[in-house]
Amino acid sequence: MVGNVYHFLGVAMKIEKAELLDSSRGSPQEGSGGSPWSPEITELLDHLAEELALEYVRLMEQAAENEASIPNETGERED
Amino acid sequence: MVSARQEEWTLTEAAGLLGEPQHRLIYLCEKGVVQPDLQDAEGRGSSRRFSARNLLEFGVALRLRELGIPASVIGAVLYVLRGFEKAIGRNLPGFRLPGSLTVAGAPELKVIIGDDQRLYFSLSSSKARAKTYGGVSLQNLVGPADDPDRFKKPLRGVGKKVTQGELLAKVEVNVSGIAKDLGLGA
Repeated sequence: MVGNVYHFLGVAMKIEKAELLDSSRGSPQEGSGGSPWSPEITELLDHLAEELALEYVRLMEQAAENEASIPNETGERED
Repeated sequence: MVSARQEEWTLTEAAGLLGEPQHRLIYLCEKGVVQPDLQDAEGRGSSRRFSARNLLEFGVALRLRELGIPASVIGAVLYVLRGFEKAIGRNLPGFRLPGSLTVAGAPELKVIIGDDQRLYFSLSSSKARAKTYGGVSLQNLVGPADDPDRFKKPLRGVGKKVTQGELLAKVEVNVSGIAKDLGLGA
């Protein structure tokens, strides 16, 4: 998936990273933990949530660093 | 828009805020797609009470339903969103859906159903291009072949030319945009 081009409404966008989770491992069946998916699929969804969270936190930290590197009104950088 | 101090909503209030008939919200609850955070209906005379997170879930679910996505797939989307909130909360204790998605500089979160019939999520910011995660096959999220909730019609494609190895998005829902539209700020 890395480097794939993703199209939406006629606009092509480069996908820098896409982790393809191969969900073909499990067949649809009632999960034992109360979720309607197989344990394998539930595990994939849990992993996906964790990956998204890591990236979200990284982007938030990046935004905070960018903000801190912008000189304030007196021309000083905030540390 | 809602009062910033409001922390729970009745079914009537939620339907009014979302501009949807109550029966659509009840359907999502009875399917188990949206689970009321504050109080579920447990018989005659009891009423459901919803959190701000529930309102975001309704917003996302209703948008996906409009686009023909089965309830079971929507349930998976909301399951990931709940896990996402929980996982971020371990690093950023104040993080809450939907308010934290609406703060200035917050990354934009989207749900994408690809032409390859797989579920993806994307995150982007003003400083970084979108990164896409996922790829869970929809066939593994929908019910058995006799489930009436399976796809009733093919999803509509929106791209024009696709060469081998490219991903064509058929459905894209902006979760952050829905949070902002609801006026459920932090």
